Amino acid sequence: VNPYIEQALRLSPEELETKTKSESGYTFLHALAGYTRDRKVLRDQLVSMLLAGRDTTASTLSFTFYELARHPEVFQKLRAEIIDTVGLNRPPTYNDLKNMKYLQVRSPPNFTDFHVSQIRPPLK
Amino acid sequence: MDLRRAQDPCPWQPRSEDPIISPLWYVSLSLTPHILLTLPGIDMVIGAVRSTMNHKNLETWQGWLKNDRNFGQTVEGTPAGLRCIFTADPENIKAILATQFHDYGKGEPFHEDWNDFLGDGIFASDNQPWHDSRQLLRPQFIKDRVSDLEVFEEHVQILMRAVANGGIEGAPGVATDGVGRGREVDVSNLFFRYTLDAATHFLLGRSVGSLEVLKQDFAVAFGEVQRVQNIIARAGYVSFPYVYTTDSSSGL
Repeated sequence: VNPYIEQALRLSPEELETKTKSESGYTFLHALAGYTRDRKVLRDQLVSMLLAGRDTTASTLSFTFYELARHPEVFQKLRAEIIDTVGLNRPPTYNDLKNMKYLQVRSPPNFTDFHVSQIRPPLK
Repeated sequence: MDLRRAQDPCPWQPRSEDPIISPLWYVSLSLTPHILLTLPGIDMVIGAVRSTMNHKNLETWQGWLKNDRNFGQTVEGTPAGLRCIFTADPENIKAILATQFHDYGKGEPFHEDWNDFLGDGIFASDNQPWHDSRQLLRPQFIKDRVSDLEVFEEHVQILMRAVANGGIEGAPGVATDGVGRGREVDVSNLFFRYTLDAATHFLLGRSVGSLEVLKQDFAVAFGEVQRVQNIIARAGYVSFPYVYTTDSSSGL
């Protein structure tokens, strides 16, 4: 992670800003580097985001496909909705995802059986 | 529910009260089995570590939760003399994470246990440091930031190719041209690689490419950190014997 941070910090604030504003060149690191140049802060937050974005998503994917494999009727319905909304020839857009109601409601129930969040020991 | 730490009559004080722990103390602990037996609830620690190393966390937690005769969702125990409450009750979780958020926190022992990995990042801090982290990170989660699907699409395509090939290229028996049909694939391993690639691409600007090689340095290192943290999170101040004595082969 550190080499990435050093690379980003070598950019001037102006360069960072243009990078952040451009639609495709956006990265979390460049956006954060626009707020702070403290290496420890950048490193700690990025590693935290990496951990949070990685395991939770991977295990949610695993559980989702596991459940879908066990419930073919749900799988069929979901597939039909995706084909209706997006079709088979293009990647989905953000709006497509928002509009697929069945896809949206399918997500939460899994979480009650298989949550992955960390334990929060007492503060006081 | 009062989640305050109880002052157990335990001879071993938790890390927060006694931050300087001599290496000798650890050695004597690991070499003298009878000391282990006198530590209240050490069986819970052993059980938890053993189950996480064998991928049986869910079974172990469900086993503990069964002790709650009323709802089967909240139990209390003293692993290694430290009073802990385990809950899977959605109402408790809502209180901790939302409605009574300010009454709960990670606590200093957590911060210390995770310090080498997460430092003062948002998931290991409380109060002002937590607030500062949140201020910094929050703008990154507005809609136009998370609606950039191209990054994910790119890695989903690589993921699909790996599934079609029957695994990661370079693994024994894996095809390179999508003809791995009929072959059994450990898809959860591929999912962990996919999310690592997508997350590093999104966060740092370049994917580490763990879906494309069997052993990718960063992925292996990240897996090892998590293996060790997994044990520390369960055994806390009695982690030492475990962390250095177990096999480090991870899924990646």
